[in-house]
Amino acid sequence: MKLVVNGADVEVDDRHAKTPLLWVLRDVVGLRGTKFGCGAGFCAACTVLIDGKNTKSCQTTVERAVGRVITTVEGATGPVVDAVRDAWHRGNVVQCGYCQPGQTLAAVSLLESDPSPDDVKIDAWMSGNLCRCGTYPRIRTAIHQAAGTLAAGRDPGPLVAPSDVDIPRLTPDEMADPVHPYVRIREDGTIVAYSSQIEMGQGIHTGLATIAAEELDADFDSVRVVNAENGAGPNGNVYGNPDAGGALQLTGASNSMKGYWVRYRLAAAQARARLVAAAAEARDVPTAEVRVENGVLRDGNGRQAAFAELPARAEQLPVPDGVEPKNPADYKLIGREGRLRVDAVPKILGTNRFTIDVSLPGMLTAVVLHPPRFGAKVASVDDRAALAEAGVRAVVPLDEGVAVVGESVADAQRGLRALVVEWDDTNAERRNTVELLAEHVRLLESGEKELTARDDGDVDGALADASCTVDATYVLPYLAHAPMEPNNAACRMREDGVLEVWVGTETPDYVKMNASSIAGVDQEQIQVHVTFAGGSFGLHSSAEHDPTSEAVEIARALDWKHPIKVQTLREEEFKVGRYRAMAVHRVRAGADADGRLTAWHQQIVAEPTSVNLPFVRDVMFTNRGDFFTTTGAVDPPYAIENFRIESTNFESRIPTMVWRSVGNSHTEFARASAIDELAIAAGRDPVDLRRELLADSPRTLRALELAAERADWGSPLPEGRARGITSSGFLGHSANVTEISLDDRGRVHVDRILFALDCGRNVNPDLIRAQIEGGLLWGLSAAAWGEVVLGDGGEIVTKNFDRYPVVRMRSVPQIEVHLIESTEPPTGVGEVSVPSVAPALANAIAALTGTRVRQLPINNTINIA
Amino acid sequence: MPDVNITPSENGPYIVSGPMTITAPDGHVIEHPDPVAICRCGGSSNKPFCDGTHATIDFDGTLAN
Repeated sequence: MKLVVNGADVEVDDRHAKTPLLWVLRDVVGLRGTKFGCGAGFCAACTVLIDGKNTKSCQTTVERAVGRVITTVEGATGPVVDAVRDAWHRGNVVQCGYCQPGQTLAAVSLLESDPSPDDVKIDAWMSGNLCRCGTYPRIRTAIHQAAGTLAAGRDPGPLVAPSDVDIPRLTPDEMADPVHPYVRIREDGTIVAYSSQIEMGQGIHTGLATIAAEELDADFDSVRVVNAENGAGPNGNVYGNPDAGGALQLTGASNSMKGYWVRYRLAAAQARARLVAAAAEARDVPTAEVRVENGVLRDGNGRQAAFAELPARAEQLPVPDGVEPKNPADYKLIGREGRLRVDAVPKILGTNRFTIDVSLPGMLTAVVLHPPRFGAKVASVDDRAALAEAGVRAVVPLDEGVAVVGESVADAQRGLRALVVEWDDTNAERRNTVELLAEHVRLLESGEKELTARDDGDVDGALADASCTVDATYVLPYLAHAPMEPNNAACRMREDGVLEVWVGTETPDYVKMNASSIAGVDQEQIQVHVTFAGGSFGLHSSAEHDPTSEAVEIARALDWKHPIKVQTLREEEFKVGRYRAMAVHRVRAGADADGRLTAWHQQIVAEPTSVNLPFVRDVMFTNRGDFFTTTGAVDPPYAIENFRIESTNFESRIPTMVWRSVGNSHTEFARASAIDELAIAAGRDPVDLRRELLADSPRTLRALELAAERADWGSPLPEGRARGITSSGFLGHSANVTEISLDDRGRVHVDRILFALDCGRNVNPDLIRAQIEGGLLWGLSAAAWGEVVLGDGGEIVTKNFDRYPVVRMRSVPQIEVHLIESTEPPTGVGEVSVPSVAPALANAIAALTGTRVRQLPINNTINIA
Repeated sequence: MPDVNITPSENGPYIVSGPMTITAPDGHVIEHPDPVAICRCGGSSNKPFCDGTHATIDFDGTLAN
């Protein structure tokens, strides 16, 4: 068969007649800008243009594409394409970037058919394309922007991707240098910043570029940021997270910028001091006479040198003593608007390499069938039909599942469909989610395994004396991360005995431990290549039983003869779990006759999460209790005299994992809902009650006041509308006011979310706003619809986006972010807004309808449109 | 008994038991070996199949008496 792709003829083997065009484009033609998201037409990550119309290539067989004009992200050109891409770039639309080739092509197709679409048209057209990062508000704005560009007849021209940066492994000398592992100035004048923190959409590379350019007084556009890796040496790991003890290279807990603030400001300042010393030495002038501005050094005699002229000389020099980061009063970049994401262009053009895009000579691709119930094992495999499929090379039973190895994904997937596996359920989790919830509740009521996390004052006495009380139980389901790129990994055993692993991991040290133990080689012999992650949200923090384990297991089983890429199918990702734990909270709270909160008793039952994180668990799982079960409950910003928190560890075979905002994603729902319930019971205004409790937390109080003021809290709303509020000291200091309305069918519309935030110094205000928007939409998906369901016998029912709905363009509310200026060190913003969404929405629903929703997702009680 | 059974799910898609085929207006045949969810709300971006949109637009799928 012959296809015409981007204007070129492509010959395709007849065995691919029924193969989705997606896989032929990626694996046969080698055009990997088109992405796999769900394989079932739910997400449109695989969007291409066929005869100019946005089309899902995972739902289009090759035979149906014969004779049509196929245009992929790589081949799309022209004024509309340029206008769309320019708007995407300038609007800081992109986060993880995985869905953006599809999003931009859908937008191109829209603007080709309607040059000035309104919001209603945009919402309808773009609602097929999912984005887990929540870039929707910016996509909407960018489409208007592009329409404006075209209407004005402006031609921004095509975007051009920067060339790849080679990242050689650090030598021992380089590793011992205080600057080199972090910032290096190259002979061509570019500055390479090595990011110990993985870029998974949160924008940390741009944050690092800003810090580096600021401290070096360099041109921002001359900074290139790469994912750093393999920093372990005799003196520890140079890329160990400075905000988490420094031992492990780990991205998480929203502490990347917090750690950079310490390490990279100093490293860049030291690099600058070296350049100044080199310039002074070259010109034979005192260092005090050398000034640096925008990448140029000038001495007192007016002579100047570009950075590019000095790196070799500078690197020979010792770092001068007493170098300090810049005085904030001199900042030119930090805290200012105008920075565009450094990773945006390759992501828009589809040239950014995610793990799914790794391709190595001789590589085979594996898909893995996982058990239908957690904890089930393979009893028997009949692989005859699978092995008979063209292109299938091997079937490999794994520790947890069976892998089918093929020449391409399509081959392996055909093999997987033909595989016959019997499962041994001896140790399987056989309970459905209703039964699992009932067991949580039973444990909560019996208190038989309860641990006390905090106990202040006399809670029982204060509850007995209270003139008004609330006793409420809150229920939260299992949640999946479902990033747009399913979790993948690739590995290759080199001839020199080094095992290379490619994976978009948050924890490269876990990858080394994991690969080393399966391969039976020393950790020093494992080389990790940290790829860009197409979203992670905590999922890629795993240390075992993940695509890395599977890739290494398969490669070992095939005697290391082939590089192996494990390509996880969406259904299979849901089946390996690593969910946000189910949680049940009971809160008993009391207020005195004046309506003051005097007693708080919160009991929590949830499966521990930190136990799945090596080293982290040593500090997080203490006294038999999990920090991630009680965090957010045990440490509220509120001053409550009589205060008790108890937790119970739930046990099941369902793997849990950190999930964007982790413990706070459930504890704050209970806390912020119960405070609202008590305020209503005591006849208090929810803001007044919180204001009183925040007397000792001035920064949180300020966020609350700002949100209330900007939302015009207290002013009457038209009939059928209401507001709900929350405030939090999680990561930063924040408050959320959510405004909703009811339509004539009793459906709730989320109209507006206003978020006020003090996150310390605002390094890049626009990237902070983008993270808040994304976090709010992430929280909205979970609050409204998010739920993983296990059916009878423990069968995993929720396996794709049809049963795990996430917010689409048409449900995106108006979002307003108000940032508070601060001179405190910056704190993280990737997770900070997530926990506020469910309680603010539930509080608004209670205000509007009188119905108090205590069980998530809310859609199971009242419909969210 | 018929070979194919159609079950409207609550406020969601028609679940059609497989194996089955769907013939598109242009005559091409979509083969489905497994049960398949067919859009009932009209909101899917993946017609004739369900894409989960019904949940986010609060589709009212109450059957007539």
